[in-house]
Amino acid sequence: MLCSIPASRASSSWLNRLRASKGFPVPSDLDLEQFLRPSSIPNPTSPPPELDVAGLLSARPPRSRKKHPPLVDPPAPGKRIGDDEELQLFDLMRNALSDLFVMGDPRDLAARRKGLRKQMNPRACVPSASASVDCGASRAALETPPSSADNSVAEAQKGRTKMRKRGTGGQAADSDLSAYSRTEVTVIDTSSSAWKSEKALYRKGMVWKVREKKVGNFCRKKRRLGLGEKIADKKRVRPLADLKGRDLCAKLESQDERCTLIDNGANAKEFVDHCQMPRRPKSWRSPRLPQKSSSPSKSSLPFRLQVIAAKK
Amino acid sequence: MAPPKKSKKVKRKAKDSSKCGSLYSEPKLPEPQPPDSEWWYSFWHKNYDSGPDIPLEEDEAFKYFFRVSKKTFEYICSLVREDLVSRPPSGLINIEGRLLSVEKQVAIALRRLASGEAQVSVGTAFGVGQSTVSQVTWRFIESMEDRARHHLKWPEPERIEQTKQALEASFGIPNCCGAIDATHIIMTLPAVESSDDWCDQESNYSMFMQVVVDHEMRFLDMVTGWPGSMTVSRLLKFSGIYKLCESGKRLNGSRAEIREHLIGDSAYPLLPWLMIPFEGKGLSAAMKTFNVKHKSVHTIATRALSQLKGAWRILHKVMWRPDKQKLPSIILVCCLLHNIMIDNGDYLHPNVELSDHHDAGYKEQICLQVDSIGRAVRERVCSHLQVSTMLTD
Repeated sequence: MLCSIPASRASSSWLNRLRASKGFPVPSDLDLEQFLRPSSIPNPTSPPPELDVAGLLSARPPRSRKKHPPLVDPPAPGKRIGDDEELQLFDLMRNALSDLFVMGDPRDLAARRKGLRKQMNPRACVPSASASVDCGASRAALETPPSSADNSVAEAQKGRTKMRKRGTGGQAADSDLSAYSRTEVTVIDTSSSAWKSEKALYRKGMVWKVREKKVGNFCRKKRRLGLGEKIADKKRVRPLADLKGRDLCAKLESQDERCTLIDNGANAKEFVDHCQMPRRPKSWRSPRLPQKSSSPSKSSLPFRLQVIAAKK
Repeated sequence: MAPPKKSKKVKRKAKDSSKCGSLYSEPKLPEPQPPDSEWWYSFWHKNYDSGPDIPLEEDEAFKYFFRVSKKTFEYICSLVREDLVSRPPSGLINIEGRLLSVEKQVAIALRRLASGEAQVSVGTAFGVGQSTVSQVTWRFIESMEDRARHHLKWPEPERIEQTKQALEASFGIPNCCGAIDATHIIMTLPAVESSDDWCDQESNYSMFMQVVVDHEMRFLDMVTGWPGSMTVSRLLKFSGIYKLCESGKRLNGSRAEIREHLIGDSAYPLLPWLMIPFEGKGLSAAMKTFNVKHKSVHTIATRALSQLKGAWRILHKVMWRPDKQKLPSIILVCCLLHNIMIDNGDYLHPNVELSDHHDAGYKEQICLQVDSIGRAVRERVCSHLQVSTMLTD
C-alpha cells in the first residue's frame, strides 16, 4: 500500500482516508512530505500514538521492530526538536517506511524532494526464502539455504540469528512462492513413520523449500499390522483393476494439483470411489484363459462385482 | 552343454496333488508346496549361451542371472507369495495362456532389476511379453515394499552395540555406528519434464539416494526421491535421520564424551553425530591418522553402494524416462534385496562386475559447515586414536 503513495495533492482523498483510518489528523494543507518532516508531525495529543504505531507496525514482519529500535539516530543540529513523543513517533514512522524503501538520510530529505516521490532504489519486499526451508526441523540454524549453510560457519550463524528474529514467519513466506519452480516428488525415507510421502519442492537458485502434500492414504496399499489383518489378507482377492485404479490415482494426482490438496476424509473417500471405477478393457482378458471350476458359468463382470462387494 | 530339461507333466501332477491335499487337510499346516522349478530349466536352456561369462554350473548360473542363491530366491518367493499368486481371472499369463507361477514372476522381476535390460529383452528371455514384464515387476516391487520392510530398519540398541564394537575393533574409532553416503541414480526425462530441478552438477538428470550402512554393508537407513540437483548437505537436512539425530532421538549414546556418530565424507557438514575428515594442508599427525581411519570406515558405505549398483544394474544404467513416482520404490526394493542377501548369508558372486566408484564421473562436493560441538567431538576422537596408536606402538 505504502509503495504507491504519491505526494501529489490531487490524489490526496484516499490518502486522507488512510490517515483517518490510522487515526492521524487530516489537515487540508498537509502533504506527505510535510507529514514526514519532524516539523510537520501532527499534534500527538489528538490521536492515541501507541495504538496507531502498533497498528502500523503490525502489518510488517516482527524482525523490523528489532532491527530498527526507536530513537536510534540523534537529532540533526539545527533541526527543530519537539518533545520526545513526537520524535519517537517520527522515528517509528520513518522506520516503517524505510523498511519498505531505501530512504537515505532524513536530514537531506528536503534537498531530495524528487528522490522521495519516486524511489530510486526500491527494496524488494519478497519475504526471505531462507525462512522456512523445512517444516518441523528442530534446529532452525541449519535450515539456511545451502549458499550460506554449506559454505561457512559465519554465514550459518548469521542465518541462525536471522531465523530467530523472524520467528514463525513461515506462513508469510508461504504466500509468495510464485518466483519458485515447483516440483512434485515422491520421497521414501525409512526414518519417517510412513516411509513414502508426497512432497512439493520449491526451488529458486540454491534455495529449496519443501512442503508436505496433504494426500489421503487412498492410493496406498493396506499394510499388514496383525494376525487379523493377515487372515483378511489371505482371503483377499486383489483384482488387477485395483492396481490399475491406483495407477490412475497417481496420474490424476500428478495432473491436477487440486487432487493432491484434499485433506478431509470425505474428499479422500470420493477419490477412492473414483479410483475403483475404471475397469480394465475387455480385451485385456485373454480368450485362451482356462476357465476354472469355481466360476465356470459366470461372466467376468459379475465376478468382479462380487469381489468388490466382498471387500466392502 | 545344454542344461537338462525336466518333464513338465510330472511337475504339474505334483502341483495338483498338493492343491487337493491342502483343501481337505484339517488342521491346516502350511503344506510344503513344491516350488515351481520348471521355469528355471526352461529359462536356463534358452539362455545358457546368451553371454560369454555365464557359468556352466547350475547354482552359479542361477546366481549369475538372479544375483541370489536358490535358497534366498525361495525365501523371497515366500515373502511375496500372497500378493503374487495368480488367481483367475486376474492372474498374469504367459504367451501360451498359462498362469505365471510365483517363482516365475519373482524371477522375471529379479532379472529385470539385476540386469537392467529392457523389458522386451527380459520378456523374450522368459517367453512373455513386455507388458507382462512391466506388470510383474511392479507387482513384485509393491509387494516387497510391504512385506520385506523388516529387512531395512534402524537396529535395536544391542545390534548398534555390536556394530560399534566391530568398527572399533577394526578401525579404532570409538562409538561409531556406521557410515553414510549418497549416490545419484541417473535417468533421462522427456522434454516436457526436463526441469532444471532434476539436473545435477554433472548435467545429468538424476535422483538422490542416501544410505547409512553398518559394518557388514547392511543398509540401516535409506532416503531417496529428492532431485540430484541439490547438494548432499541439503539432502541430509531433508532426511528423517537428520531430524531424529538433531532432536536427540537417534545416535544419542555417548562414551568418553564422544557421542554416537556416523562417518561421512566432506560433502556432509561436521556435526556432533556426523564426523567428516579434516580438510586442508598442514594437518597434524593425529589428524592424518584420523583421516586414514575415517576413510577406511567410509569405504564400507562406498563399497555397499557400488555393490548395490553392480548387483542391481537397473540402478547403474541410465534409466530411460522412469516414472519419478515409482523410481523411489524401485530403489528401495533393490536396497531391500541387498539386505536380504546379507541377512541370508548370501553374498554377491565375485564375477559380478563392480565399478570403482558408485558415482563415477561425479566430483566430490565439499561442505564447509562446521558445528562447534561436532568439532570438539572430532578432536576427542582424534586424541583417542592418537592414544590408542601410541599404546599399540
